[in-house]
This record gives sequence, C-alpha cells and structure tokens, in this order.
Amino acid sequence: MALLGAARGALLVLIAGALSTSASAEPVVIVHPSCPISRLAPDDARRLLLGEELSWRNGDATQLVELRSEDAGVSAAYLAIAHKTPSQIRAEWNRLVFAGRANPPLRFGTADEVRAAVARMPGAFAVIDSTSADTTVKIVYRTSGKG
Amino acid sequence: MQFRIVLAALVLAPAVLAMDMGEMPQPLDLHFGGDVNGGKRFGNSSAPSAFALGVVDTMIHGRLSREFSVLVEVAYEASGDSFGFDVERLMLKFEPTTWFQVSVGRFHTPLGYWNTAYHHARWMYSATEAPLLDRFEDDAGPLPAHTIGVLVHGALLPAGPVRFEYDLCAGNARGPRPDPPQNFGDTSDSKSACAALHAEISGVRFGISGSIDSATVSPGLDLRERIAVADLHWRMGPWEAIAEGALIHHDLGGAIANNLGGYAQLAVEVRDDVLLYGRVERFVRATQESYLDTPTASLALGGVRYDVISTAALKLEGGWEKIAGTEGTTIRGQLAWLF
Repeated sequence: MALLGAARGALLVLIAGALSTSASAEPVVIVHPSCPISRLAPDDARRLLLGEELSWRNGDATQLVELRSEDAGVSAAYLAIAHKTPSQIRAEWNRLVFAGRANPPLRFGTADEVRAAVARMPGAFAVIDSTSADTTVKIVYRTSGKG
Repeated sequence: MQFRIVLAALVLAPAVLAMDMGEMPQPLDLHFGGDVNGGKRFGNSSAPSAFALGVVDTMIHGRLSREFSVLVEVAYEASGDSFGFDVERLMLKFEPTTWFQVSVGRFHTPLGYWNTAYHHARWMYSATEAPLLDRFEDDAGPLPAHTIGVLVHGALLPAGPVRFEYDLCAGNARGPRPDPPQNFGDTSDSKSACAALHAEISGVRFGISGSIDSATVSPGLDLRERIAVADLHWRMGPWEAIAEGALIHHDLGGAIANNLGGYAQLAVEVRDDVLLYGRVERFVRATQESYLDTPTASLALGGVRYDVISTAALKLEGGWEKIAGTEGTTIRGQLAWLF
C-alpha cells in the first residue's frame, strides 16, 4: 500500500511538472553550458541575434543555430527579440558572412537537433521552444521576460 | 575554364559537397549578389541615359571543421563591352579563437572601414557606388583593396565598455600598375605589410590603419608606398555615420607625391525598409603622381534606398561631381540584391 502511495505521489509530481512545463512553454535563447553568461538583457539578446555581438566574454565566437524550415513560434520570438522578421535576420547574417566577419548559421531539421548542436558546440546559441530545452543546454533569455 | 567548371559543380551539387562539421554535416553556404543600374549624366560631362549591368557576385563559404573554413568570392563585372571574370577573394581561414584568426589567400586589406565592411555585392552599400577612396583597383580606386598573402585578425576581449580589434597582414607588393593585384607572383622580393587597430565604444568604432610597400614598377624603377588611413563608424538607433580619410605617399624613382582622399556619409532609417543617405567626398591627386589612375575629384550625392524585400533594394539618388576638372550632375537608380 505504501508502495502504491509513493507511485501515485511520483505520478502526481510528473503530471504537475508536465503541466507546469506546458504552461510555461515559450521561446527561449539557449546557449552551450560553457557560456559565461547566465542571463541576457533584452538588448544583449537583440545584438546577439542580429550578429552585432560576435563573441562571448570568454573569447568563444558566437554561432547561431536554427531550424532549416520556418517555425511560427521561433519566427514570433525573432520578431520579439530583434524586431525583425526571420528573412530580415537572415539578410543581416548574409551581410556578415559576405564580409567574412561571421560563420553562417548552422541549420537543422528539428528542434532536438538544434538543441543537440548547441549542446555540442561552445559558443553556439539558438532560439527554441522551452519545451525542447533540457539540461544539456543553458537558458539565458526568456521571451516572456520571466527568469 | 577549369575554375568555372568547378564553380558550376559547386553551385549545382551543394548536397554532394556537404562539409563534415564533426557530427554536424552542413552544406556549403552559397550567396549570389547582383545589380542593374540606370542613369543620366548632365552638364559638361553629359552622357546619354543608359541602363547598365552591374556586378554578378558569387560567394561560397564552407566550414571544413569547427576551426577551418574557406571563402571564395567570384565576380563577373564590366570589362570594356563584355564581362570580365575575377576571383576577388579566395581564403582559407583558421580561427581557433576570436582573438587570433589567420587567413591565407587573396583578401581585402584592412585599410579603413569600407574595404572590410563591404565587398563587391552593391546590395551591401547604402548608395549605388562605393566612395572613390574605396573603389577597387579596376575602378581607379587609389588604395590597394586586395592583396595576396597572410592576414591575422583578432577581436581582443572587452576591457570594460571598450572593444579592440587588430589586423596584421603581409602580401605581394603592388604590381607594375595598380590593377591587377599580383595574383600569381611578385615582380619584387619585398612584400607589402599592413596593420590596423580599431576600438569600439558605445556604438562608435574608430581606428587607424596603414601599409608600407616597395614595388618594382619596371626594371630599375621602384615605387615606395606609405599609406595611412583613419576611419570612424558610428551607429545610434536609426542613424549611421561613416567617415574615412587617407594619405597615400608615393616615391616613384625620387618623384614624391602625397595624395589625399576622404569622404563622410550619413544615413538614417526613416522606416524599417527605407533609408535616406547622403555623402560628400574629395580626392586630391598630387601633381607628381604618376602611378595611380585616380583623378582629382569632388563628389556629393543624396538618395533613398527602399528594401523591396529583405534581400533586394531599390536605390534612387542624385549627385553633383567634378572629376578631373569636368563638372556634371547625375541621376541614378539601382536595383541590387544579395541572397
């Protein structure tokens, strides 16, 4: 009976966790765990996404990682963070790549692949839905402004 | 011809040439730029109205690994009545960290601001043309915009609100004429050297750069060149200002020439897709100068740039110019794109 009670308790914790995750689902900026930043100010997030900031404090070059196809949530986040559409942001990166100042964004098919790439590559960052983030990456900016 | 075949293969089969980034295969990054122009010149230098094809610019970027990348920029542009083919940049880059990056190949010299911020695709310019000081060698530009050799670049870690960037380069000397740069050899044993140091604070980037060169112009006739450039780039909200000034000192077989050039450009974004801009520039060719093709000139222009879409821009501008003593006014339009 005690075992059943413990299992029920664990299930409730899991459901509550899932509900709370679902309730707080929002686009976030994730970075590699070695990134020296723990939290980005809105203007820092804008500069990062537009390629105005191309290195972290520890000397690692920034590397934008994104989804190959357009995602409505990520597009809305780009607009909220940088006040630019994804195609305008792509044009800014084209300008930087053309000038030889930055490496082009790395593009992947799924949010999980994006997260995995950020987790593998020091200096990498991406905008993904918070539900796709896990402990292999660090969340440094939430579009809701919370935390 | 072989290079064209390789280029065509790269364009047509990017998937085949996927680069291995550890566990992250990425296709080559391809960019295409181009522009079409139309205009009319009035006054003493009047010319019939005309449409003109601009530059067809292709850039290929490949990540070979996390630290190695290659960049190839190939441009087709007017050469007399036909198109000429130029490999504008061909660089292998090693970038272990942001404060130490080495490139080998053909690159843009780090002289001033314009030459490293903008390249051959005119979509990148606010105006339809680069200022005279920063035009390329094949367009009578006075600076050595390209060289072939080694470039070291780095962004130093920020010290408080100030950021520093440095560049050092060594490459082939100037050739018998300013154009073309010496791609396949060097007529002299001595090499050109250049250096640049820039600081950025609160959106203002400023710096100095310079180069020294000793070139053999013809047997027994050497050119000693010393160049100093100061530049400023300021961006605040919708406003952007760029200013550059250069002194180009030549000693050609004992004939000393000090050429001076500079420009100032101001632009303001009045809407997300509309930019107003204006520019004044001046180049003073020394009386003793016999190496450069750049004439004495004064130019002023103003215009509007409308980004039709994020990768294509329509520019309309008017200007006044006095080039080698001949005065005129111009109206120009340009549709430029880069994707």
